[in-house]
Amino acid sequence: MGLLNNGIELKHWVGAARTQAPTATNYDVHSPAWGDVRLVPIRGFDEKTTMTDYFHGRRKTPSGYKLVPWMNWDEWDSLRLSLFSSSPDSVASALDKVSAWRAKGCLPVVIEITAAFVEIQQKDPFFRLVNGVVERARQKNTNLSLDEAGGAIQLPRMLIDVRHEGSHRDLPSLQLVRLASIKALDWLKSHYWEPQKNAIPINSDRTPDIRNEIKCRLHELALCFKTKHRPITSTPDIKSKRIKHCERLCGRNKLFSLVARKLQPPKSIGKPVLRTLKRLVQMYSSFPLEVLSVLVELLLNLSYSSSSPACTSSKASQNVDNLPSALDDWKLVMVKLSKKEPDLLVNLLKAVLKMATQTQESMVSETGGELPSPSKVAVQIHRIEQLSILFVWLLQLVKGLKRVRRKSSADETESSSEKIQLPKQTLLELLREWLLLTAPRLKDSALLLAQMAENVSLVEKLKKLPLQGLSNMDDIEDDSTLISYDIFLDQQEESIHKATQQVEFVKQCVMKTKGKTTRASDGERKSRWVVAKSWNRCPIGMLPSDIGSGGRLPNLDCINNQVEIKELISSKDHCQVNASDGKRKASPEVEQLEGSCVKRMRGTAENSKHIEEDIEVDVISGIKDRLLIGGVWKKVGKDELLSILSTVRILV
Amino acid sequence: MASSEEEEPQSQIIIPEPWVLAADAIAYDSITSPPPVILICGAKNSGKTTFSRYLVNVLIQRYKKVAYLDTDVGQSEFTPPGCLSLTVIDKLTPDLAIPCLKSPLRCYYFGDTSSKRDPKAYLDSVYALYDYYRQEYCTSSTSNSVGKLELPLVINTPGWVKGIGYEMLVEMLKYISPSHVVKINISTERKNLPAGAFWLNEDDLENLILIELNSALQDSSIKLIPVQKNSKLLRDLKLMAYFRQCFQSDRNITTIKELAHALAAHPPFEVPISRVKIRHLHCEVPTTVLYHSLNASIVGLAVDSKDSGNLPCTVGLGIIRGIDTLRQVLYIITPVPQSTLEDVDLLLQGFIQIPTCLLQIGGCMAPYMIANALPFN
Repeated sequence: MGLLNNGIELKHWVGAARTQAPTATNYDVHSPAWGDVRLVPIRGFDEKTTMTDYFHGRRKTPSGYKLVPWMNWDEWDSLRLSLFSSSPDSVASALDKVSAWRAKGCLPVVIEITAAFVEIQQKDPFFRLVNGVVERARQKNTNLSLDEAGGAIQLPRMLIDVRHEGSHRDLPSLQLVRLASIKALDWLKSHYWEPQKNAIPINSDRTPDIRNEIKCRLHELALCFKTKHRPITSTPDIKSKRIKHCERLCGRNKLFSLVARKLQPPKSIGKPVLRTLKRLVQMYSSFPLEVLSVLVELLLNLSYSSSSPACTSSKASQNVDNLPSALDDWKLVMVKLSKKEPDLLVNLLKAVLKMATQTQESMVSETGGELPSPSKVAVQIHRIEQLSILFVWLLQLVKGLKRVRRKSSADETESSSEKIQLPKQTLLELLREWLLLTAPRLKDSALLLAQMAENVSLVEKLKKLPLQGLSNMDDIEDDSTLISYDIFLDQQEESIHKATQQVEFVKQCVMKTKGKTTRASDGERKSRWVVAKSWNRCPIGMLPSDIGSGGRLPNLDCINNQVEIKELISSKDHCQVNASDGKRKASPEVEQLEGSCVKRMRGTAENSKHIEEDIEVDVISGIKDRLLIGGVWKKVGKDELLSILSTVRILV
Repeated sequence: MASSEEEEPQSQIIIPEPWVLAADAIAYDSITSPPPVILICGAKNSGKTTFSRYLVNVLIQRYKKVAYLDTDVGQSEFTPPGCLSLTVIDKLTPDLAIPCLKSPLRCYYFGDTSSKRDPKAYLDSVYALYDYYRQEYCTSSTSNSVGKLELPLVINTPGWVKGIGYEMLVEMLKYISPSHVVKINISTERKNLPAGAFWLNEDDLENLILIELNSALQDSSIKLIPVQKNSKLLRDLKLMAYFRQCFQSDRNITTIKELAHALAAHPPFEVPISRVKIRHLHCEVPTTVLYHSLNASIVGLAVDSKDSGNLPCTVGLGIIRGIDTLRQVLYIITPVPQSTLEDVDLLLQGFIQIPTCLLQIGGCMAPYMIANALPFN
């Protein structure tokens, strides 16, 4: 067998077995296979509180959490709805699910009983069978016992027995049994299902409060750091604005404490900062989405307010480091927060990416077939600009953080370094999504990402790529009032040229990765059990999300629907004609290229995300055989490419 | 053992004189071929396990190696809970208070902490393990015994000695017919097993040595914690120690919290759903909701026997830490090495629950851990 040949000892009591509370827990590895002799206590068990908590573990953990067979309250509630639904199909599926829950061994007895009653009601015909049919059989021959009567008409004996015992020999009327089961269910509903439903914290009710608190705490933190670092020179107006903001949100006490804190010498700030930080970390763990969206909103507003579109964009476009100074104040906040929550920055990056994509999509879809109003375009382009600034800013933070960690990680264990270092796959995934955007600073951020992924060849290739982005976007902004159809046309031509080179790059990458992937799949075919190639930390019961350690809930429903899976996979290559993007394919060449296969890459990216194993391939496959034309990826053939190439050569 | 161990007061287990004499008698007064088969029984908390450990130590001094059949699925000795196992021990247990995980020779996953849910499956596993022992280490009955090692067998039994538990013990005794039966009685008389060779007819006592002992602990006031809660804790600890083996021993994982974090980040094994069978040991689950029952649960990793009569051997336990229904793969954490896993084609789901502290890791919302639950169990 040879699996446990590393003897690990668990020392957990002193004195005779099982009569005393464990006082210490030791792993004692003494097998020669492990090479050394160590005694490592599990510290958690030294403390008395932990012990007692543990003894009540089945009831409640210290945090008030309890092990249940459902993943979250949503799942519970949907079971509740289908269990009490009028559709027999959904009731049947609910009963199935209860049996799955039962297999997990921690099903509350009320749910089990409810399911039993519902099941009995579903099997009402059987009751009628026993009562009606058997009774009739008995009436013919009153000497027969119920069992015999049942046997006479070949009714399963067990059915009769269950009914017999349940009714204490006195045959209850069907109405009575029905009534009783309805009453019982009503009792269960009013004593368990309804109160439990009401006890679920409903996020939507509390969201504004939560958002406010998050906002307030963030400002608190920023202010603390700001006073700490620039006690005198900080601009008074911003500060007072913030205090006002906080006052509105948190009330007077907070204001006083803030002011008081501000008056204190910088070094004594430690504790309140820690407290605020702790609270924020707590909030992030319970409301990650809220914290993320508040943060993005906040940072975005900051970068907006500090950079008016006219003046900064051209400056900023030349120099990545020239980021809005208002963001600097937040650097420390972000660093501190991400030290506590290593996945925060990555999740923020993802959130920003999502917002940018959404903005871009809305640009395409809102305008429909008509020309967009110049002002609207300007606003949206500016928004994307700001988002990309934020993206680069965050990226640099991540990069800086990583460097710092590496220096200090010499003596630390691997756990901390693995927490901080973004996996390459994550970076490449980000890069892939980022490349799908028509965003300014595209190249900057793409390069940064590639560098962080330590993919030298990718960096080189990206450098060669005159990625679409900055220059033309800036043109639009500089004379945003004069936006015209012509500019669009110019842009298109230029982008075609750039896209051609991009396609070349993609081709090279594909060639490179081809060898790798085939080898990998061969190996997989051989062995049943393989260690997952990449893994992001996530709670047990979840699947790793692409970025960060929050994880995502699995969809456990589908079974026997292989067809659906296949469809999903094939839809990756499925191309649909996208009618809404007429605006951006104005140039005549593009019309020719278009063919029948035009698809916005967003959709494919979503679908392929979970399917592709090798993300590096994924980066490429997303844009394989496609040209980025005006923010839209279009499928082009080789011949078409060649023809474009010949035309654009003149421009270079 | 590390030096810190010696500084601690050595385990306060005191082996009473009668126990010492009994163990010596078993070890040295018995014939070596066939080797002695010793079954230890008695009520809960009578000290069966402690005596077994002591006896093994004494036997090792004479026999060098001792086989150990563990039938206590609730408080298994060398395996995580829910397992029935046959183990060969060749080292002295330095501290009788410390149970430790060992690699069993053969193991069957019963999947519950009490035999009551499926007495037949339980007894079948015990019989199969005993048969295996007979075949491998008690060969005097067969002709090709030359060169084979004969080992004494110590059988530890659960403390469920009333009702069905009693009947199962009788069945077990009848099947195995041990050479020695050690019966440990506690002060509460009504909780004890019947006096004498309760499983035999009066005249069948020839080949049996029956030893009746009193529990070392007659003072019941020492019981600080109800046994049941204590057992739950011990089971969780054992499971955690088991899954701790996923990591190198020199890795700095000392607290439960660190273990939970390490497991969450640990790259799991990936196995295509189509290439394993899934069997529920104690209940039926419709295939449509199969994944709901499997996710975040503990399974026995077993090798399905080609011969339908044989029980599937279990090579270890795994946590199904995630299910990707789109890619049709299961993600499983287990300390079992990949080479051993390759034969595993059967996952057995029982009622052994994952320790709740492994589900919760800081900074993440853990599924299956629910706040605001009404106090219904």
